Amino acid sequence: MAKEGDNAAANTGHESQFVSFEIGGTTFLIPIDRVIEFRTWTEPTQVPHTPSYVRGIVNIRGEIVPIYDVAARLGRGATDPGARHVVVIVRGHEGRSVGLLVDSVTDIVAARDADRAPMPTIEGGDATPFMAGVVFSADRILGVTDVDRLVEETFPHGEYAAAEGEGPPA
Amino acid sequence: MSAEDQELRQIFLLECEELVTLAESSVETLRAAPTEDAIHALFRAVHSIKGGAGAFGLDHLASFAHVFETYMDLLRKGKSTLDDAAVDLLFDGVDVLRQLSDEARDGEKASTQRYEAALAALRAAAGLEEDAAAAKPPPADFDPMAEFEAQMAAAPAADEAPRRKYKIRFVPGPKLLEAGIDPLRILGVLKTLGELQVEIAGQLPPLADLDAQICAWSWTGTLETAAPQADLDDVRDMIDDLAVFEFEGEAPPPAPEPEKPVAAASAAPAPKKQAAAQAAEPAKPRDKPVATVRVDVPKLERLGNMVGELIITQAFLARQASGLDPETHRPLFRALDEMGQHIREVADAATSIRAQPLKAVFSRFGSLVRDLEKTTGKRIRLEIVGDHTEIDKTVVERLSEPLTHLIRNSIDHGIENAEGRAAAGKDPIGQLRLSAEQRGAQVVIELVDDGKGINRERVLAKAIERELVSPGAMLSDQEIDELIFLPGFSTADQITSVSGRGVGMDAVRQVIEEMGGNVALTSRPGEGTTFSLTLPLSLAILDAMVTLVGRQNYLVPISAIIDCLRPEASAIVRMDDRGAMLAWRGQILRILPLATEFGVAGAESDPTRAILILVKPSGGETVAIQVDDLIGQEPVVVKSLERNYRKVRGVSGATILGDGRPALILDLSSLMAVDGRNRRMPRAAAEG
Repeated sequence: MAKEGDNAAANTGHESQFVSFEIGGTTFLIPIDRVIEFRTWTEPTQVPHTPSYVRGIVNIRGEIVPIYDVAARLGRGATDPGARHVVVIVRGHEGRSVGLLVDSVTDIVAARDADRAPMPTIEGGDATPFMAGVVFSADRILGVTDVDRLVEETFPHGEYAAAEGEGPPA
Repeated sequence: MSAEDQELRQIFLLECEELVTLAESSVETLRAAPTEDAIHALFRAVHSIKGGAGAFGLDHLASFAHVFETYMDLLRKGKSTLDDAAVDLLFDGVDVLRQLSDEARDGEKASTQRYEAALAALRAAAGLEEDAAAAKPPPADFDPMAEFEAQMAAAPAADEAPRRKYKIRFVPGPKLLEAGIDPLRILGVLKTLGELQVEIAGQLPPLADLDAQICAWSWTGTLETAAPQADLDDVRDMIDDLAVFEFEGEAPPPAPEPEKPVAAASAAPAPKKQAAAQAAEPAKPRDKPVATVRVDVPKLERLGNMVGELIITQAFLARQASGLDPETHRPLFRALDEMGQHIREVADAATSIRAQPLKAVFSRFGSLVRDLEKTTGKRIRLEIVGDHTEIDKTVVERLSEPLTHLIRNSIDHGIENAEGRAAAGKDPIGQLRLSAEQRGAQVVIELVDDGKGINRERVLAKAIERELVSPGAMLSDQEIDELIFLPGFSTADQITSVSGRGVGMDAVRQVIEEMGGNVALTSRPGEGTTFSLTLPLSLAILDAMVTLVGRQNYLVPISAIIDCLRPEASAIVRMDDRGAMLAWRGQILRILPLATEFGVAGAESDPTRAILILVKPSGGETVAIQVDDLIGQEPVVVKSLERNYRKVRGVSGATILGDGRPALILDLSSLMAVDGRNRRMPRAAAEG
């Protein structure tokens, strides 16, 4: 299956929907068809030998689902989550379910394909590896998060380096 | 070939596997002591393969089985002696039958060398001419029935034998005519055996419903014959699946036959055969026919998953109810108890449905050992015990590789060659015993050889050379023996074609541990080596000790726990700043605080105020794992962490506790490998 955001580029009339969420005052988007459900934050079970942006695991209808701190993953510092924080359960690659810890979920944004653009690349790699592209919405430019890269621990570092370098959460 | 035929062909090939296994065990029996039962059982198995192979157009298999059968017939009639060479020939024959049926199943074509060699040898032994019909695949109109008639007619007329009267019933099934068998020919065969009197029953359906391909009649009557009952068994086997053929001896023969072909028939694994057999002698209760159904594995998996959910829900309910007053809520507690009991029974039933006898994997080792006898020139007697023991299907499938490796290892490194055995005053034939036994919720598989045992000097030297052990290390005999489980360890100075294939004992240990089991090893110099594998009956449900560390729960598999204790201050030894050790029954054990290993905050750091769980993973040392407290022991459902995340070192999986929160299950071997102080740390793990 093609990644959302890549397909039907020629069809400028096509409209996609996104869920917008906030992290530290910045709004990001996630393709709506990736979203399974929203949950309020509950303390997950810790998992050892994982990067600090992996907050642990929770039980979602009998499945063990990992929770990622999106702010920490984007290099904006770890979230100090409370009851008002939201976990967005999304569909990851290979049919995985993963949870994204965000400050809040704000809106549903519709964007025509003409209003979308890919991220620029710079020499040696992507300018912002965790964004799949941008959406021009009203007067704002919003980044569309690349869920697969967000949860990929070997990206951009090796898995082992990431696990050892950041150490287990204290 | 139509889809239906395709399906029938698959079913036949599955049966063929069973028949080959049966044939093989018959040859094993024949090797030990020739009995007529075993010869008949082998003959029937080969005969059934021939019939089915012919019907499904598997020409090579059919013609090979035919030659095999011809040779068997000579043995059966005592026209050829059953010596060692004959047994070898039979074993080769069985191997080729398996090869051909595997090829037919997988649609692959392997080398024909072995097939042709075995075919030529059998043909020579059976006295068949090179250009006999059987040398070529039989013609398309190969008629197993004609074959059968000729064979029955050729059977010696045992006039001197006492005549016996049988009640017989013959009901053609819907496929009999389609298979090209005329019911009258069956009756004709019976007639050749003795005096036959039958009545016809049944009625033609109205013309509109008439199907000329279905025989509407059946026959009942009596047969008075001097022929052995085995001949009637043969008739039944001939039309097996296609028609019901029942017979019942009216009175016991005046002089009971010394051999009991009936017993051989009921020993056949295919339950439907037993169902068809209405033997003259009452079947023993354990031989009672059991109806079976084939079920798709995904359906079983769904059942297993739902049982898992039930167990979790039950744990949740129990925890919810624990705050209530037992006096006022007596009926609720009784119902909860009952539900718990029922759920355990459902879980046991689900586990047993997934279970398969180990025979499925053990049966392949006869041929493996015979091959190894040839390549190594050693003579080996393989004894298999307890292969009816059942274990989870997935385990059965995954056991093949590690057991194959262990057997290769025992024959290659353990059992001496003929001179070595003679010098040691041992039986020239090496003994290898593979046994299985259920002990509680576990199955223990042992492989015992009577070889020379582990050469500890060489093992230690090799381990030091490979920098797996520091030169000055003081290791017990047991510890030295277990060095062979380290990655990259191989004792063979020269890699032999038999065992040194780069897959070492560490791979064996890894596979067993991945299934939640463990491997232990005892070696007696000059006397032999025993490997014992302990495996859980079910992969889905684990008996675990729930512990508390900080605010986290961790689960320790009960099977690995030796003891749990709160240590006295005097039992704690501190040598340096690298942590405490525990003096326990004359040993000094490393204390592994889980909070430190896993980076858990808020845990008890003083061992005398904590709980130590003494565990011994397979092939490893005993270690004291330090936790804050024990919550209790419960059966838990193992959930995959890899499904949505990835494998984590020190953790084998997760489960969901009664409060709905996930908890991690410890993987003890990898936990110790994570710990840098362990001198047994596999290098591969250290490098990531």
